Formats: sequence, structure tokens, C-alpha cells
Amino acid sequence: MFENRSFDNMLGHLSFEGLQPAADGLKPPPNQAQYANYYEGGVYYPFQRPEDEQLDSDVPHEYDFVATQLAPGADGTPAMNGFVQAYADFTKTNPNVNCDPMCFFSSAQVPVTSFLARTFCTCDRWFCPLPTSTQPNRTVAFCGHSEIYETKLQAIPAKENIFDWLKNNNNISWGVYHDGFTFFALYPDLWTKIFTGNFFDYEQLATDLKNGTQPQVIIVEPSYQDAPHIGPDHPNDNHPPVAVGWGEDFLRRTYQAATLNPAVWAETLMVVYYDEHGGFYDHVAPQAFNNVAAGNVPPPVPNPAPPVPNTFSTLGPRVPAILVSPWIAPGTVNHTLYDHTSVLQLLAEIFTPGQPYSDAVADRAGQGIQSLSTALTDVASNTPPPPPPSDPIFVRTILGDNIATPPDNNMGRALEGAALSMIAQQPADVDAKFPLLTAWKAAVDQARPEVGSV
Amino acid sequence: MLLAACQPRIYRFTVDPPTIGNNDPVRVSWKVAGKPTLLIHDIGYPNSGGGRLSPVTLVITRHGKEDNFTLAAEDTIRLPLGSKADSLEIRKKPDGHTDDRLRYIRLVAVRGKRESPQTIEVPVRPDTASGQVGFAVVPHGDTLIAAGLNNAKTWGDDYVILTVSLEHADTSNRVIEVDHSGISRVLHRGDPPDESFKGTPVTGQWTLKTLLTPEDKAKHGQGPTGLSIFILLKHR
Repeated sequence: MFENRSFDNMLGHLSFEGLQPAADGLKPPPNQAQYANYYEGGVYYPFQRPEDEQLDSDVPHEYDFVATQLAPGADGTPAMNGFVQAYADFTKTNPNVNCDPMCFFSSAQVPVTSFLARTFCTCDRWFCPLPTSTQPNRTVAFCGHSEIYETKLQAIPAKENIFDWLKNNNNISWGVYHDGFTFFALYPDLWTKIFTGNFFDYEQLATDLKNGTQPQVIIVEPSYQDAPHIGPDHPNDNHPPVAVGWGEDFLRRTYQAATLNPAVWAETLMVVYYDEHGGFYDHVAPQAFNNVAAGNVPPPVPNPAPPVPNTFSTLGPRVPAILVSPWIAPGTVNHTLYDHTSVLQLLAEIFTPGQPYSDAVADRAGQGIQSLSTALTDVASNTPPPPPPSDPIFVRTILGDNIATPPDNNMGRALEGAALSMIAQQPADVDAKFPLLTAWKAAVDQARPEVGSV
Repeated sequence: MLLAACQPRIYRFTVDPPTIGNNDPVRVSWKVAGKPTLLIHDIGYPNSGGGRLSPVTLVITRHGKEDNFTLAAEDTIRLPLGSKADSLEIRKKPDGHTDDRLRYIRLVAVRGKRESPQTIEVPVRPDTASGQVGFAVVPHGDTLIAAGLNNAKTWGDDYVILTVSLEHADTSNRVIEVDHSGISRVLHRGDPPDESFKGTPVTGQWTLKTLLTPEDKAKHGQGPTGLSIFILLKHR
């Protein structure tokens, strides 16, 4: 699972360039009324980025900004024309003619994503579960519902998490391969699992798949933009402001690992998806959805209520999603309604037939969210998986965040807070599992000896 | 509080006016924490229809001293600024080029190994420029109203309206009533550009109104989510 990109941002080029006309991406010309966003009399349209480069800042995607982006009309149907307004509110600047939330990439700028989408199966009706930010959406992805509605420094409840579910249902083997610090550190109830045998360094993924010693269910974690970094480690989760080149390389290495062993590949479904849209424009309105009935906590409605209510009465915006497997029809576009719980539905169908993953996931299914099994074929293709594009991917981005300064956003504060708590409580375990974190902490201690002395 | 002061910060970065004529100067001002550098380059966006941009000569004036810089299509001018708070003027030397281009003016503040960047695009328009004015709609019964103040920060004060029309702005047969500067006109698709608003400022209050069409009503009352008109402007 990558971070923070909309379908149109990463895969809008499929239809724009005529590479996959059946995909519901962007269509030329980009200055069509249906794509228009408005800000103080200005009319803004999607535009292709000249280059994949570091953005000036993050793009807003907390629940209140998402409400502005969706811009629901009188009947609640999102107009999808408030992305520039939300960006202006967030950055407190006058947006450029070509402002970041309206950008999309060409196929040449996201060569691996584009290759996989065209070679295997693009899902163009996969929405993030909630119209809000990272933590709630990832929690729905791995717990089936969310008891939080926003991203901040907090201990996230892990009720009905996927790891317990796998263990409690025939002890299905699982593993998390993390390229850096793990997102699951934000769930204190999961710390024991992080340190006891199922969390592996990403570099071990290819070896395990090649040798056929991999677990049945694998979660692959990129290196997060908002996590503590030190040394040569760099983020590859595609979270703005970072450029997506490193993420493209990470995706290529993961696909290469998945296809190393023909016997393993023959039984593999690799799901490439994003936690949420990250504040980037998407032209397809998410449908009405009763998220409260599905067990999710809605944000409080401020008093007085703003013109746009802060409720979760729709799904979140569309995200890029690609199914990579010999068990899908190659080169296809799937228009079925999916969200992150479609993965949990599939796991339940495979491992606990006739029994849903949870009541919350069953409720989402009852409201129309389909299982990924609807995309699978009855017979696997025996055609060898094609190699991915091999051209080097050059990344124009800025590194060099000064470790002396603490993070300036909620997700950064949350991951840093989790890292510091973990180090304080289980220093030996952290040193064994995340050796770079120990080096990072030592550097932080030196750079930030006490508030006021830097 | 002291920790925050360790970060490079851009407290103020403005380019005025934000949209300029071919030979207009712009005033760039800044206030930062850290070491500021100004980067200037021109850019032709993919699919924007423009060819390769021709080189231009920029005259940068600071504290009364002029420096000339030739900016080719893919070059970047890098200007260490020294002062944490100051301003300068950028003017393009007159030439025969009439490219409609975007000029990127980028300020980067650096402190230690940390950078804080901010980029402002300055559209460089020919003497006669085109654009759009538009707003999201608010339904009032069968009437859709899109209204608001057109942002002076986008166009500045140097452009005035020549004509307004529905060309390029809406592919339907929708009729739009336009109110601006005390003038009201009804625009139909296919009509010649309307000169009723000639000489009025592009900025200020605009109101666009339309009625739900039978086609809209057939789609559960779903009309357009925004209304916009095409405007032709003249540089004063």
C-alpha cells in the first residue's frame, strides 16, 4: 500500500494518452468543463506535470479539507470542484495557474505503475473507504473499520485487526515486509507482533519468494515520507512532497520479487493500492455511503456547522489500484466497486468460506463493496510474467531535512512519537528490528539536547 | 519556540503583479529565516500547445543596480539574495517574441541542510489575452447561480475586459446571464463575443445565472457543478 495519490494523478494518463481507453481516467483536452475547479473566479484544470519533482509542500487531505474538495451539492452529491480551494486554504497562498492538486503524471513519469496497469488489471472504481486522511483509511484497510476519524499523534485501537484474524482462523501464516519503520507502530496493541517473528526487513522479500518460504499473506510497506529517516535511507511511499521516482523503483523491485519463482507466481495475487487520495484531484465522485453503519467514527460537526458538513456520508475519493496476477484477465480494466475492505472480503472467502471477515466488512459488502474475487479468473494464465521497464529512474527531489527540527505535520509527529515510545520501552527489540532507528535516536539526542538550546 | 526558529522559513514571498504584459516589470519581495536564493526559469507545459520557448533577456534591478541575464528555454537563473528581507524588480527587455508563457519564480530558503521552497508562476501574456471567469454553482430552485469576487491576485489591475462569450467555456446549449460592473447581459452559445463589458475591470463581483434545462431535470436535477465564461482581455 502506497501513500496519498488519486487515481487521476497516477493513472489518469491511461485514457489521456490512449493507452487504456477503457479506463475512466482523464481525457483530452484537459480544459473540459467537467474537470473544472474554481477558486475566487479562477478556473483550474488538470495538467500534466513537466517533471516528476519534489513539490513545494504537502497537499491537504485531512477530513475538513476533503469535505471542501468534494464540495457536495444540495443533494449531497460531490461536485469534485473544491481541490484548489482546499489547497489555497491549506497553504494560505494564491494558487498557481498549474497548482499541485490538479497535476497528473504521464506514462513516462510513472513507467512501472503504467506498465503494471496496462499489463494486468486496472481497477477504476476503487475508492478509499473514508473521505479523510491516512490513519483512519489505513485502519479500515487492516481492521475493517476505524475508531478514529483523523490523523494525529494518538494510539490507534487495533480491534479486529488482520493479524489476529489470520491467527485465529486456522493460523494462516502472514508477514509484513517493511522498508524502514513500520506504520503498525502506531497501534500499541500490535507492538508484540512487530517484535515476535512476523515482521521482516523488505530486503528479505525477494529471498523468501525465490525460495518459496514466504508466508501465505504478505503486507509490503514502503519507506514512509513521514517516518524518521537517517543515513542513505529515503522515502519511497509516494507521499507528497516527495517525487514518485523512488516509489516507482520500489514497485519495480517488488514486482520482480513476486515473479522470481514461477511456482510462487502461479499462486500470487499482488494488490497495488493507495491508502487515500492525498488531496489530489480526481474527477469521479465517490458514491453515498453510510460509514457510521459500517462501524466508523464520524468527525464531530462543528458548531456552528460550516456550509459543508463534516460527515462521512460518502466513500473517500478514488485511489490508484492495480491487480497483478496470473489469475486476472491481462490488459483489462475492472469497473467493479471496490474499497480497501475488498481485500478483507477476499481473504475471508479464501480462508473462512461462508463467514465474513467482520460485521463491519459485511456491512460494507451489503452497501455494494465487492470482493476482489470478482476480478479473478477461473483459470490461471501460464504465460510468463513480462519483465518491467528496465530504464533507470532518475529522481529529482530534495533531501536534507535537518534532524534537529521535529516534524511539522501530524503524521510525522505520530510516527516519530511511536518510534520514541518504542525505543524508550523496548530498546533492545528496536535495535534488533530497526537498527537505523537507534542511530536516528542518537542523532536526535545530540541535535535536540533540550528545548531552547538548539 | 526556539526549535521552530531553527527551521528555514518563508514568511513573505510575493510577486506583483501576478500576471504581466510582455514588457512589464514585476516586483519580487521576500522575508525569510535562512539563506534565500531566487531561481527564475520559463516553462512550457506538456499539451499546452506551445512550441519551444524563445530565449529572453531579463533585467534585474536591485538597489538601483541593473544586471542583464539571458534566459534560454531550459536554463535557470540562480540569484543568491543575501538579505533576509528585501525586494527587487524583474523586467523583460523588449523583443519581437509574443510567447504566452509561464515564468517560474522560485524562492528557496536554506538553513543547515534543510530547505523551504515556494514557487510562484507568473503568466506572461500578450497584449490581448484570454481566460475564464467561473465559480461553483449554488442552486436556487430551478436557477443555478455562480457568483463571487474575481481575485485581483490572479490578474492584477492591468487587464480590462474586451469581450465575453460562451465559446470554449460550455459545450451545451445553455444560456447564461452575466452581471458585472452594473451591466447585465444574456449570452447564448454561438453568439459573437459580447462587447457590453468592454473596459470594465476583470476583477470584482461577477454573477452568472442559468436555468436547469429539461436535460438537467431528466438527470435528477443535476445541472453543471460550476459556470464559467470565456473572456478576452486587453492590457492597459
